[in-house]
This record gives sequence, C-alpha cells and structure tokens, in this order.
Amino acid sequence: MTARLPLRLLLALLFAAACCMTGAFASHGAENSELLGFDAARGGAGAAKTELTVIGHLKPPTGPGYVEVAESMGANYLKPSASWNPQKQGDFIKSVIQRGDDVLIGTPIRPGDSVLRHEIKQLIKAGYVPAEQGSKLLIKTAP
Amino acid sequence: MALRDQVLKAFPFLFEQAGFVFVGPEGDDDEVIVIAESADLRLRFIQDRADFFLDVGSSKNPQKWIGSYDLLDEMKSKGLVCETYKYSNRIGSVSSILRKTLPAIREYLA
Repeated sequence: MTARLPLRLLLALLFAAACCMTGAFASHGAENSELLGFDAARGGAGAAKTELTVIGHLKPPTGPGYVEVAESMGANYLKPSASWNPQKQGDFIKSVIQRGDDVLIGTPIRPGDSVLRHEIKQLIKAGYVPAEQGSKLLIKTAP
Repeated sequence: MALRDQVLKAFPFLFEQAGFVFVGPEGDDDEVIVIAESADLRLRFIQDRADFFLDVGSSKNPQKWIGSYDLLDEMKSKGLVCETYKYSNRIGSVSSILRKTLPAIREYLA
C-alpha cells in the first residue's frame, strides 16, 4: 500500500504531463456518452485506456473548469448538461467507483455545500483517500 | 427559466438601483454563466448543476475574478464587513448577502 500510493501518483502526473506536451488527447467531445448511459464524456481518442476521472467546478474564480482540465488530460468527466439531475450525478460517481478510477479534483473547491463536495463525500465513503497528504488525486483503497 | 431571467428576478436591486446591465450577447436557455457590469464592478453569475456561484471583479481589470465568499472573508478579516453570513450557494442566499454588502464591496474594490 505505501509503495502503491507514490507510484500511482507518479503515473498520473506523468500521464498528464505527456498529454500536455504532445497534445495527443485534444478534445474529442462525448463520444462515449451513450455507452455509459448518461452524459459522461472522455476527453480523447486514447480514452479507452484512461483510468482517470476529473471532477470539479464548472468555472472556478481562477483557472480552467473541470471540463477543460479533463479534456486536456484525456480523462473521464461528467459532461455538463441541461438535463443534469442528482440521480445522474450519483450514477456517474457510482460508475467511477465501480471502475476504480483515480479521481482528480481539478479545480479549487469553493466554500459552502456544493455538488462537488457531495461527489467527494461519496468517493470518501466508498474508500477513496488522497494519494498523499494534501493531494488532489483521490485513489480507491477499499475493495 | 434562463439564468439571465433568474438573476433579474433574484437580484432586482442590481439592475433597478445599482446601475448594472448584462454584458455580452444573450444566450439560450442552456446558458450557465452570465456577467453583469456597472461603472466600477463586474459580477459573474454561475449556475453549476445545483449550485449558484457569484464571482466579483473590478471593471478596471475585467479578466480577474474572486469568489464572493473569498472576497467577503478577506474584507471581514480587515474589519470591512460586519454582516454575518453562511457559505450558501443558493441564489436567494447569495442575493441576500450581496444586497447587504454591495456598498462595502464597491468601496473596497474601487
């Protein structure tokens, strides 16, 4: 376990860096939405091998929103939709948990109760923990 | 209801008394971000799923935003805001807090 945490963090960071440098995972939209059964999306052509999901706010005060972060990394994310509802949100996080994706909190967390905080609580309840103290990368530890 | 209409309904004091107008072209019903501006202040309203967020900026520096609660906390730490508030991300609560603190925010960011 102690050896696994830094390795997974390192892999995630290397993956992100590679995507940024090569631009290999430019935005390709939500081609997997129908397969997943809700408005989920993956950011790039190599997404079938991706085991990283990005959550966050749609538009934080500074920096990119979670969609931009996810697409730049070729990661999974929940596509914003007018048909959003708490059930779809919950189902999306359940699917993330079932796959055992690593989850990156891609934006600063705004004060107060929010959908993002509920997502994080749901992940923690399912056994997710920060990859290391203070990390924005959450990894699943429970079976 | 479109976000622009929600903002008009929840924040009438901005448009009827404080000189704010919407900036940018009118979006469709799926619009999730709208910006209103006065001579000195810019406000960015964001509908993020079930949450409603407000960012504040100066008209002098239109690209720079600060979250409304971050701004209020900063002002409170300097003794510039005496109102108590909770971190609520509901449109009614945000409107109520802004109505009370708008003069102080204007003075602080001027």
